Amino acid sequence: MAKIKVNGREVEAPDGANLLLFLNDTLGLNIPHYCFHPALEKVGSCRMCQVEFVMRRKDPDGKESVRRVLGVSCRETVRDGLEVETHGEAARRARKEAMEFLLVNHPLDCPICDKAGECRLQDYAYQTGQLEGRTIEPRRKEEKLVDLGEVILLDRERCILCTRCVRFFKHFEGRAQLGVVERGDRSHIAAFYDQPLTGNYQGNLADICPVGALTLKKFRFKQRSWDLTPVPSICPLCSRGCNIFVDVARHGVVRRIRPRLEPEVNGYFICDQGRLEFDDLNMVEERLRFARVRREGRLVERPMEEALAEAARLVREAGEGLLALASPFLTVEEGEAFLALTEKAGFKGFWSPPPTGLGDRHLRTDDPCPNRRGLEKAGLQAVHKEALAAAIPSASLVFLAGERILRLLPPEVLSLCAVKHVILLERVLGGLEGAVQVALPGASWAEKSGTFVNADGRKQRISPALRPPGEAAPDGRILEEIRRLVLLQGSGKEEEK
Amino acid sequence: MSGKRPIYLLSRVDKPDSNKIETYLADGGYERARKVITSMEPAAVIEEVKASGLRGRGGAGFPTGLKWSFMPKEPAPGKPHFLAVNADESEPGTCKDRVLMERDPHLLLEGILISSFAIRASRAFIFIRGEYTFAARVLEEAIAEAEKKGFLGRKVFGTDYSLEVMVHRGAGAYICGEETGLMESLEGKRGHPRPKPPFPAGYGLWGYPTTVNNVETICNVPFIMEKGSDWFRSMGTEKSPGNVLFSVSGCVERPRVLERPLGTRVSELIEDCGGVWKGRKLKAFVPGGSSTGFLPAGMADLALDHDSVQKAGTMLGCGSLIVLDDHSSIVTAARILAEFYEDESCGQCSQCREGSGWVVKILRRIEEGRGRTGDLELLESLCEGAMGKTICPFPIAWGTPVLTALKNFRDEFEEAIRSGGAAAERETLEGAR
Repeated sequence: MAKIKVNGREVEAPDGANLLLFLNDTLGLNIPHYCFHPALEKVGSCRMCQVEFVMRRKDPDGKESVRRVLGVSCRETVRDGLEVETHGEAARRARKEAMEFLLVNHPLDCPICDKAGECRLQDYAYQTGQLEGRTIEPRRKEEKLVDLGEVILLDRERCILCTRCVRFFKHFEGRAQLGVVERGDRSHIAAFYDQPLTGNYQGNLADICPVGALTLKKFRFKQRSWDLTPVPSICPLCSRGCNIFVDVARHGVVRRIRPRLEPEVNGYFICDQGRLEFDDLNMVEERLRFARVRREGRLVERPMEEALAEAARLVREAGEGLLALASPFLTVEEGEAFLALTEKAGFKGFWSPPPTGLGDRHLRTDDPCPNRRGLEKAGLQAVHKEALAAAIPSASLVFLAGERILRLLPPEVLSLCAVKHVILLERVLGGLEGAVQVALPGASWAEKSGTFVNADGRKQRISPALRPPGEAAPDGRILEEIRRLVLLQGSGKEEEK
Repeated sequence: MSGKRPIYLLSRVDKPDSNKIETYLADGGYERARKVITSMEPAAVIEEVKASGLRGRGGAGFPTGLKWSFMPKEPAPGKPHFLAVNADESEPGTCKDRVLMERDPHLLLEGILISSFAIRASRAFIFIRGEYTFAARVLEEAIAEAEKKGFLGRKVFGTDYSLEVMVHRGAGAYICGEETGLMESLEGKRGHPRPKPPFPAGYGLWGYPTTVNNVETICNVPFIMEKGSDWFRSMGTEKSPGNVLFSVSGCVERPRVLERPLGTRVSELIEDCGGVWKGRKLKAFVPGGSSTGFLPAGMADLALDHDSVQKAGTMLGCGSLIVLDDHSSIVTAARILAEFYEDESCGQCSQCREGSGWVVKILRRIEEGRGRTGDLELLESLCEGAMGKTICPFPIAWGTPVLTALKNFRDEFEEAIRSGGAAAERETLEGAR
């Protein structure tokens, strides 16, 4: 620990720590900054984080001389004897000036900007800027709609040239794709040779851009940011278990998924699949809203209790003839409930899809199971195609449980199931209508709480961002309820005997 | 050149074939470098240059010997030292290095040899501005000649010392004359100045210890080694010894490059260039290149040495005197310089990128008669808001002309706002650009 002085107060700070991060995160001083990003190389070019450094020197005759120098705090590291004034007259004025320069040519189109509400330019303008502009000059005109590929749009008028995006590709991905072209006040961000951006991490640009210059195509004009409720959760698309926020609009629609800082797992970023592939969370038409039970050869909507009782009866009667297969999307708790329910089953486990080949050296892994280690720890075994295909023909009842199980199973396996009696706990019916005896409306990962264990064995919580529609319920609740009924029906039978 | 004043830098430039190694050798060329490299210790060279009081001729006037002494004593294994010669000469009004490079390239090379030896550099890069195609060719030919003679390359003068010299042509950006911008550009990147610290002597080109010196500075070195620091101190002033090249341009009868001792007065220089042209009167002058600002005619007896000019509130810069006659409009002149700097800002720092353009817009309005009350105060506060608050000193370069114009010729700006535009003839700095 080093002893430093901040605004006249002595504080202890970790030696070698970044001064700006220490001032903001530990002392809560809220020094504005644009070009600085903790995950990127520091350039110190936006000049927003200027503070006053106080240099004291003892003259040979013992008199102390004090010199105050303005400088950026983002490039300074904590060391013994450092003394800074963050909110003195000079520092405050320097930051205000920098802010004014940034706003001279900014279009101020906040009312139509997706970033409004979470824009640092907006925040600091209120915090440190003057409310009245001193410029009467016409603002610079730039292209407002530059297509940077499938994920991102660039608005050059809003850009404040902090170059975070340029450095993101250079330092995180290790492959520069964006650069600054021209110079002076004609400088602007451009993709090399105007080629579309590539790679699986483009979406992060929208997060690291401190203003509304780089926005997500998918989020464009969809929602004002203050109408979104961020729900902390875990991305289920691979075994990395990136920490995310699920941003939900008031009326229960997921609008956006973005990274949640977790240095141990994903840092500040997530991949584009995790960010963009959330449409099925908002699915309405295809969704099973109420339970269905086969009556006189036809699947009909019935109350949940009736369906649960029917499922319990089928499970109990099948005994060892039950083949129970869980989705890899089940949480640890649901895995335990599934195991308890299928105690007597002749064959059980969770479906283990083959590696996707989408893995890279950054975040994405090849394993599409978000909770492989958790389910294995709960006592469920990973089941592969051959074993499953061999077991299905001899089973009298197939129980498929969990989100995406129908989508994840290969067609060959599904066609084997199609000639069996099937209990389905899923969000959709998808393809097995002819075989399903009971269909129970389950929930997505965004509609339940529970634990996922990632590839490194780290336990992480997911939390519900949405309410399941109709009578649909989290899979764990349904599995526990069936088990209660199985036990109840079993004991009832005993009594009858 | 006047015969009475001792001159040395330009002593060879008017001779026929002055750029050829034969004529240079006939004038005793490379003997100084040979003596230094074969018989002296690098530390002793640095001490001699320190004792001479030579100050950098590139603009900042930093003591050269002191700069050299910041380099590590011995190159660490795998960490070569570099010398970068700043031949970008991008300040409007400056054309002195060009004369040296075109007419006496071997003087520069000999200076490079001694300087590189002093800082133990194994490579020297001459970063020459892109527009100087002829000078670049002359230098390349001179390097080839010197290499053939064994003065450059492996085992210089048969000693263990080796030096490779390369010419690197810039792509035409003012900011690449700033030492860290120069290094970035030399490395093949955008010419964006680096934050200091780290300083070049510790972390320079490609991260290796590097010294950046101006062409004229280096050309002084062979003479100091030949004639000694006492001789050098016999010229110029106590704190700014030696001769310096003044590039005089603008409204004078015969614009030219003059070699004069530091401390020469502005009025003398103007006289030596045939006086203000067309029999007109002096109105203002720029003492040391466009970034040093406008001083009024009343200050014409200003002595041009580092300290005197600093006392007058600006900098000697690179000794480029721009003369404005009484027909010129200071408003227009300030606008022209501001436009130059708007064009040349690298665009890295917020204040400079946006401020350099904002200042132009305001100056243009005033010039065109659309000025408003409060514009002058706004201009001042914009300059102050950017000067000294960015990575490199570029905002000082565009702020000083505006601030000095406002300080010394405020009534002219006020008149332009009142009466609708810059009244005087638009005959001003165009010639100097």
